[in-house]
Amino acid sequence: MSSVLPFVAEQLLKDIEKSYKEASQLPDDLLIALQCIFGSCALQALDLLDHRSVTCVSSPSGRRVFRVLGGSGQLYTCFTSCHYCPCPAFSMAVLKRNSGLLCKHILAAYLCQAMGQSQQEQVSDQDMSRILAGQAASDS
Amino acid sequence: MSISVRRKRNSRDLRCILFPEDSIDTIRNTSSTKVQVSSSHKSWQRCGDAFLDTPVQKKPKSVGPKHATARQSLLQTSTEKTKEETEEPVHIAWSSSESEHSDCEENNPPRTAVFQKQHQSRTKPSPNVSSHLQFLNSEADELPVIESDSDVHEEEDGNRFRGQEEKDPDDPVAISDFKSPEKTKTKEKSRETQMVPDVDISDYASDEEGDPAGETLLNVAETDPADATEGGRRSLSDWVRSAQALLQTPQKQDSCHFKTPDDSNKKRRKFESGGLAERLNRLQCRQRSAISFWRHQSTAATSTATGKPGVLALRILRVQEDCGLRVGLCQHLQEALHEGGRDLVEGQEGAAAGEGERKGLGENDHCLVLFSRETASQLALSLGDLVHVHPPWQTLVIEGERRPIILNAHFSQKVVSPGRQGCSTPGPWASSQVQRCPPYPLSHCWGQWLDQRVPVPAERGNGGSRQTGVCERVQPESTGVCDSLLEAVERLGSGSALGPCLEVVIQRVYCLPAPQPSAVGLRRSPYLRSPRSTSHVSTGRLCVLVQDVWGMFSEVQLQALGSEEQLGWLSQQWEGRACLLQRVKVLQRVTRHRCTALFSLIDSLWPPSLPLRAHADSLGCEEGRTTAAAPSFCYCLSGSEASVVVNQEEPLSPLYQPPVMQSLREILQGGKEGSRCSFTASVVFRGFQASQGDTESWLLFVTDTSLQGEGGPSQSCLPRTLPVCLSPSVMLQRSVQQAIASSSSPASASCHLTFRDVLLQRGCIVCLEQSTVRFAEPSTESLPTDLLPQPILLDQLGPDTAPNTLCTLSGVIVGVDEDTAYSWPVCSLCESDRLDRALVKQQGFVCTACGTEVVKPIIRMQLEVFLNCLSLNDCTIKIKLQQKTIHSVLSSEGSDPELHEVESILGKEVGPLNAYVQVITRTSGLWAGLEEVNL
Repeated sequence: MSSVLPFVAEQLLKDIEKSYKEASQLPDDLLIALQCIFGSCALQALDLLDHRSVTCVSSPSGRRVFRVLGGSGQLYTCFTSCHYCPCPAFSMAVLKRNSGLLCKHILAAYLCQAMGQSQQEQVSDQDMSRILAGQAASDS
Repeated sequence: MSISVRRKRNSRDLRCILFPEDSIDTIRNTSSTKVQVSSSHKSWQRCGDAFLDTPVQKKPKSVGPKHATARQSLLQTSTEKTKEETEEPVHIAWSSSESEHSDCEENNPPRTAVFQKQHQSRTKPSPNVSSHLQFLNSEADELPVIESDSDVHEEEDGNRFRGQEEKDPDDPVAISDFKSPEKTKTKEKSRETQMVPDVDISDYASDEEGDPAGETLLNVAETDPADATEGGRRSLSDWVRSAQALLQTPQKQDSCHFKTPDDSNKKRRKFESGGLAERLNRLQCRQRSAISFWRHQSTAATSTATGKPGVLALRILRVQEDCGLRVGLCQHLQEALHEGGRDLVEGQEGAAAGEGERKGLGENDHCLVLFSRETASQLALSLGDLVHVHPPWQTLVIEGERRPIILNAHFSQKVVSPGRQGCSTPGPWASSQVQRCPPYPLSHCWGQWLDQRVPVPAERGNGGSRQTGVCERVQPESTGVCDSLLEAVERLGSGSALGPCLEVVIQRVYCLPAPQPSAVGLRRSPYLRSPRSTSHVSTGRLCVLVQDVWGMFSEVQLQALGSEEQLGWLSQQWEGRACLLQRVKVLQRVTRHRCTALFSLIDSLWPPSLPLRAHADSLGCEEGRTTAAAPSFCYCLSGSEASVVVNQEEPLSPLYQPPVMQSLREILQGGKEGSRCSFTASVVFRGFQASQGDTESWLLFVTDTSLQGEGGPSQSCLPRTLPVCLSPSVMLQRSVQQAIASSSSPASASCHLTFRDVLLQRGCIVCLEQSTVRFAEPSTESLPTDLLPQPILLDQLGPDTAPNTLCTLSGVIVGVDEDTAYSWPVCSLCESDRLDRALVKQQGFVCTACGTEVVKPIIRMQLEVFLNCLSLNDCTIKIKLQQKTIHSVLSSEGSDPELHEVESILGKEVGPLNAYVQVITRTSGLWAGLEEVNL
């Protein structure tokens, strides 16, 4: 039996997107389901959402990344092409232990995207290159 | 991850692992030269940053220097070392970035010099470090076997390895997870610590060289852990397992203390008001409450409950660990009743396909159930087990997946059939037995970030025709009327009123003081109840205590009482009736610890008079009722007048337990400390008020025929009268107040009151919240006035007399307290002492109270005398006498009313006098301070 949880999570995010489009709010059932699948990450990601910590950065070339402002003020860049976040929780829980699907930053980015709540920011292609190269990780 | 393991090591190991610099001498030269990462100081700094939002890191201190200090202190004494070990933030920070530590040493040779010198002999490679190096290098794509396991597993492994260091120091894995034997006492504690990083690591800054590292990590994650166990470590791992039996690893304690989801996440945080996180947090709290309550009930009833709608009967076919959850492949069973009992027919479809219990389940009888790790360990599942999943659970259908996914299966119960009891292999499902899923590919981005998504064809399974994306929650009841308080609260949205009508039984109607409007606009908790002011407000807020058929209680605060009679009327009309609660809001959740008064009342209504419905089983409810303890929490609701719709036509509910009226004698003899009781009694005396600020408590003395009757109390050491304390929080009708106020006057008739749900506390009756005090109704009067003896009998003053009681005594005056003896004139008309000397005439006064001219005022006197009591030897008794007694003592004296000789009253006999015992001291002989009272 292969890993089924990513598919569950994906379906749940679709549900969230659909539900939010229809009613502009998340029913309790979906919140509880989020908590069930993502564990404590769900609460933390929703907290990031509440604090409007997710910014979708795009450049004229069409590249996009999500930048999530962590609780300590650290800015994390999450990519749209794969699941990766430079935070230690991701390295520990996702990569090393395989005990979680995502970290709270990526989940927050997903939720923001599903609910259309992320802040938009346009940068130049040059800046985007710097972000993607990890050279702008600690600025702002 | 393995911080605590390291903390438990002996001093040598501690030195090796706690500090990244230390491990340099344990690294092979060939390995260490390969890695060039940032400086250790930088790493520490980031480690500190990573935990800025954790509760343990409150102090804004620099982490880097601290580490240096800690490192030095470790070398000094063992006590200092212990102190350092307790610094959780430091250790957690290290462990979270352990993969970087080993790389930092070479950049800081001066800092490591001391350790290199002291431990030159230790040249063996640290397997932990080398494993991290491999991890970073990713050449081998190999996950560290032990460290990638769960915490619990790791804990066990640590135990297995204990004591093996000396035997096999070269063994790379053995060293990495050693624990010193003397540290095992702190094992439980450290396990808690271990859990922290798993959930709380956040916002840790990655290295500048994070990108290459990131690629490495991605590669690592994509490899199969099964591959990682190949090679040299496989044999070691096997050896560990075989050694487990020899070493007799102690039993784990986890199953004893099962935690509801996220109990271990003790982090307290402030969420944004009205935000999603706050909502989810509240939902979680309610879910925890519901789970603990359900578990509390389900322990009593363990038989099958598959007949109940919404309960899933599942046979476990396979379980695997998937990203921290346990995914169970289950076969949905359909229950059928046969003559010999219940059998479970596997895989039958059709008949029950349309029923509610099959809701969400497809034509295939297989489904996937996501168990949290806690639920799985509590269930102690093994293959072939039968599990009942009680609602509420959720089902999710994935596109292209035939098998529905069952989420939130917290209300799960393992069913052991009698036939299987013997052959099943009990015991928790050890982590090692659960197959772990390979990590999912990180390149699979879900939904292509949703907005860029193109319709994805069904790629898994053969289905696809079903409606997908339904996250449906199956509730025990789906009708408009709900019969469970917990469920109604659980369904509650964000701050809105409870949706469905709630069917409950009103157990009590009472009145609570209305909250005082706060001048500063502070929001007051309803349980910070405003105390009764000195005016003893007689109207308050109407409250009802309701109970549902599941046994749950709730206090519903309704509108302010319109009139004094309303409470009595409503009490008669409502108590015992079933009613529908609608449009009520949750005020707060109170626990037994936080609101003892309310729970003492709930305890008096427990166990219920009727078998309760149990979540677990309708058949096992009888045991559930008798064995289950009273609830430990309840919700306080708030509503308006229209919130309670009472069905007057139906008879009293069998769940209703009216207050049991007892005699005072029964209460004193059989009453349990801290329990509620009800009685009717006559107030014989209103004691002195104890004022505290603007509030006051009244002390009444009551009695009834059971205490006044002949031969009773005197032989059984029961008092003739009983003190009743009216706390400021009890609401009194104005008429009752007046009757009580006049009860100390001898001229007034006895005041007969019915006290309901009062608390028996330390031999005294306390009226507090939820208690009601009313005039005794003549029809139900159990104590006719004429049966009470006149005058009321009191206990004789004796050596065992307690303070704040009434007693009677006789004695001879042996002394007079001249310091406190004085007299004063009062108005002969109104008896006011506000007299001014008349200016016109030389004699006489003018009363400022009534304005009359007082020619011959009444002289009042205060006199306190010492008595020699006939019934009590060697006792000093001081009594403050009433006017009547003073006059009788002084009457036989000389003609001058204003001049009395002390000697003239010595030796006079007084009594029997009724007296209130103010103080009794027994330090140096018995000393009693009394005040004569008129009954």
